[in-house]
Amino acid sequence: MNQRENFFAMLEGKKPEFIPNIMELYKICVFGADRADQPLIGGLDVFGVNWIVTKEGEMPEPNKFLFEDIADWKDYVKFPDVDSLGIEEAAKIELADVNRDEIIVNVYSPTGLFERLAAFMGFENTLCSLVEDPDSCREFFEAFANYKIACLNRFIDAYQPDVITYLDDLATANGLFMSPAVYRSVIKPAHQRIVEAVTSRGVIFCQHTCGKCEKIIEDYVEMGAKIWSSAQISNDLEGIMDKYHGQLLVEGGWDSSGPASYIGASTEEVVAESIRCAKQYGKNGNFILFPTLLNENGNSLFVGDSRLGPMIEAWHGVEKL
Amino acid sequence: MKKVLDELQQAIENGETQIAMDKTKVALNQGLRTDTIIQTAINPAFKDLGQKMYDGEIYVTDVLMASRAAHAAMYVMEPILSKFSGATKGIVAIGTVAGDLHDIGKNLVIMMLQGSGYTVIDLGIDVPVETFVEAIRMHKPHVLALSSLLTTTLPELDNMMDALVEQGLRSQVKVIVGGAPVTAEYAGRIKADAYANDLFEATEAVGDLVNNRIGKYTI
Repeated sequence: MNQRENFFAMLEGKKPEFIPNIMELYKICVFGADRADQPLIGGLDVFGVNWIVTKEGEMPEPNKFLFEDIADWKDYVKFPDVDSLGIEEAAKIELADVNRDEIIVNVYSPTGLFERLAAFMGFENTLCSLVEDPDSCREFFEAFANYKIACLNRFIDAYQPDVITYLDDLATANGLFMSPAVYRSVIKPAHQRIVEAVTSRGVIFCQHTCGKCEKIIEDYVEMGAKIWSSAQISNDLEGIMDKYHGQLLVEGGWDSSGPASYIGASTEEVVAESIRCAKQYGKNGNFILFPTLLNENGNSLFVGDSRLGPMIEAWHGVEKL
Repeated sequence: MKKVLDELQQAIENGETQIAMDKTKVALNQGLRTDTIIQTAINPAFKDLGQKMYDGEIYVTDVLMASRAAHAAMYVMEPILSKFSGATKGIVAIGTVAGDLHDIGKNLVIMMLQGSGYTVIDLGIDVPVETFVEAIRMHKPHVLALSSLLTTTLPELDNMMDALVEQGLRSQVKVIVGGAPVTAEYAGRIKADAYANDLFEATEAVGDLVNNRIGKYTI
């Protein structure tokens, strides 16, 4: 089987021939998101939020808010015309050298509902608003879901992707930012519409949530997500893989806060972490390795790193299934 | 008198800002001292919240609301507290290290510390070593709290510890470190005085450091 055939076998709950890693499995596409969600090289996004580039990605400029009271959101949020974003042009550039017979085209859609509100009004205001003014939050999330769905439909038309990865970090390393009840009551209805917009077009929905979010994995599965990324080790990954075998692929496994992710981690440490992931998670059959390897220039997946070669070699060298 | 303190504690745990302010006023009108209010209502509220957070019963939103309520109670007591320079439980200088723009963890710790009666000097995010050094000289904090949320900025913690030694300040301030990639082992390696995994641990650890106690989170 090639990467593509193996991936679809995993997705159907069949025993794969090998356990993949995201570097070899996907063509990850981000240019559409650069235009619709957050600029890759920083600067103002289409809503007027200023993004700062860090070694681990972009983030909204701290302490600079578009508004601080969620009740005011309509006065400040102007949704851009999706026709003007240039998503089709982005797709042409990004898909130029893709062999669709071999790999999986995965289009990223970052800055989900919660993250977008936090980009507008900061984390603390957002978290308090979820509790103090849930009605205004719901209204905002529904409106933003409309924009997101319009963009996702464009992504699907332009990229013809196999997978859409929707990113919304709802958790810290210790647990969810908000209770599952608050998530289900305030965020989930709009989230569900986003998932359905993707899956109704025959595209696989991948939910990216960092941190310890295991309490709402059941919600993700119920809504129709088929992949959960970047599954971090603060969650019971083996339990989740067992429970949802045949329903959910778990993409992650790397100890992203551990020594193998420190700047200056040795090749040996990186290789050892790759082997740990292979031995600990590979046997389940519904796992995709998502390494987090950083260096002085940024994320090694995008800027390259001499440690990647030995790491992948070690990953291939372990009998997993 | 016990009743109003119980009600204040409950209001804080429930994140009910207005009730927390009202109960604090009632407590003061009943002649209760501010230190009694802090020790008997506010501190126990945070202790309960910490346990509930540890048990997974509450979430960051709940802690934020509770911190706001505790802040409101402290605000009511502020005119009395400010009359006594010794009223603060201690001075903490806090910041996120250079190269790191994350502020939510730091801000939550600040809210907890202020709500618990500490004076906090917030140095912000992306703070260079020189700024920390200046702040120590200027404010003479009991504790320097350093936050690093990125694996890429971890070395800044090490640099900070080196700078404290080089500048002859190490013996003048206790250092606590925290943030997602920081571990107790790492804190020990760089010779910090304490490590905390969350805001409740941080508050308890600061209490131990200020009072020169060896606590659960002391290295």
